[in-house]
Amino acid sequence: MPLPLLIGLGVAAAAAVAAVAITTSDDSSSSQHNADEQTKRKIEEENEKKRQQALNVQQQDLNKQKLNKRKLFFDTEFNRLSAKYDFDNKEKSSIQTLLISKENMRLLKARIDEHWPKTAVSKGLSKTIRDLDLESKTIEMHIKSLKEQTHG
Amino acid sequence: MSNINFEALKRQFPEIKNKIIRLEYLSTKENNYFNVVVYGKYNHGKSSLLNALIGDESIFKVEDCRTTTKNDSFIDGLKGIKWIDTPGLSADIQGNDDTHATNAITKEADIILFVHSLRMGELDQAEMEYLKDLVYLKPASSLILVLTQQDQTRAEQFETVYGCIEKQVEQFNLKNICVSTTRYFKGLSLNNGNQIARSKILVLQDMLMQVYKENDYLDTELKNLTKEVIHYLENEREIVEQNKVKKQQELRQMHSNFQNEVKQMINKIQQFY
Repeated sequence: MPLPLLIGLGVAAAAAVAAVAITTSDDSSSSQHNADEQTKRKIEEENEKKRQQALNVQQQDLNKQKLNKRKLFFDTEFNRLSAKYDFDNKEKSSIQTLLISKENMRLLKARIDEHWPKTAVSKGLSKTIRDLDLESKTIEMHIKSLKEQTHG
Repeated sequence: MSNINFEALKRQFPEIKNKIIRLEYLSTKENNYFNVVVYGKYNHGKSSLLNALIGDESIFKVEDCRTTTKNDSFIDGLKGIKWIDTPGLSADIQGNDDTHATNAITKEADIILFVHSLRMGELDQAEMEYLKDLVYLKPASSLILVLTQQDQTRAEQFETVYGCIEKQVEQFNLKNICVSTTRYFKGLSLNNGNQIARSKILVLQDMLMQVYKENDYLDTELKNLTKEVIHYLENEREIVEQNKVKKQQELRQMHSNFQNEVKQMINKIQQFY
């Protein structure tokens, strides 16, 4: 076999071997790459989870802080109202539980409004009005009996 | 008549207690005697005046010392008159005598003879106060100012004193008369018509009988007094009603303030969500 042909065949074979070798090497790096991607995604997901958890904790802390603020404000204001209008504030704790949800605001208002008739000012004025009403009716009765006498 | 709760009225309206006492008396009076009450200061001749009007010196005790300490009365059944003698005003320190006298004029008196002795000069401050109270309590038609002991004042002194007294009582629009019981009894004992006439006791008797003979005198007083009390009560009721409305407004205002404060409180709470 002429040498050039041999050389040609040799080169071709070498090229083929090289080609096979190249092909084999490409497959192995791609799977490695995939594995890396998966690990990366996993880590990312875990990080995201952790971030979400941290956010949740942070949100919970914030909610707690807001609830405490509401409670503190309610406590001060309810005590002030109780002192100003002179009513018993023993129901304060039970009303305070309504502060958890914003949906409870109408109920909260209703529960505080219920205290009005129990205030000293309402009780005092209501009694005065009842007394004056009785006095007026008594005078009216006297007038009626005196008029009956005049006409009789 | 029995429907009227006089006790409650007296308790509830002490300012017009005397009028209510009189109203109660007139409303529940069981006899038809015409009550003549003498009223005035100690030793001004009240008992003596009543004796002269009755025509008998022995009915009521007359002395220079303080003899009448409680209300005393004599009923003349024939004439239908009850003569009531009262203790002299401002005579005892405790004021018990005044209380007896005031009770008599407040409750029983159909006509009051306010007695003042000309011998004492013009009316003093206390007498003026008593007169003011009387005029508030009674219609002027049932008051007569009787000036006694005219015989014990000299003519010129009498003119001056009488002039002063007329001015003093001008504001009250009272009937008045000057009498002398001494002259009257002297006239009676001597059967001297001139003395009797000059004593003016008969004129005073006529004045009393004139009032007495007005048949509806007490009915008119009862009606007028009832109207007066009704008018007073209506005013009082009006005041009470106004006060009630004021308190109702105050209650509504306070409730509204309370509700506003609750609303503001809830609005702020909502900002903390």
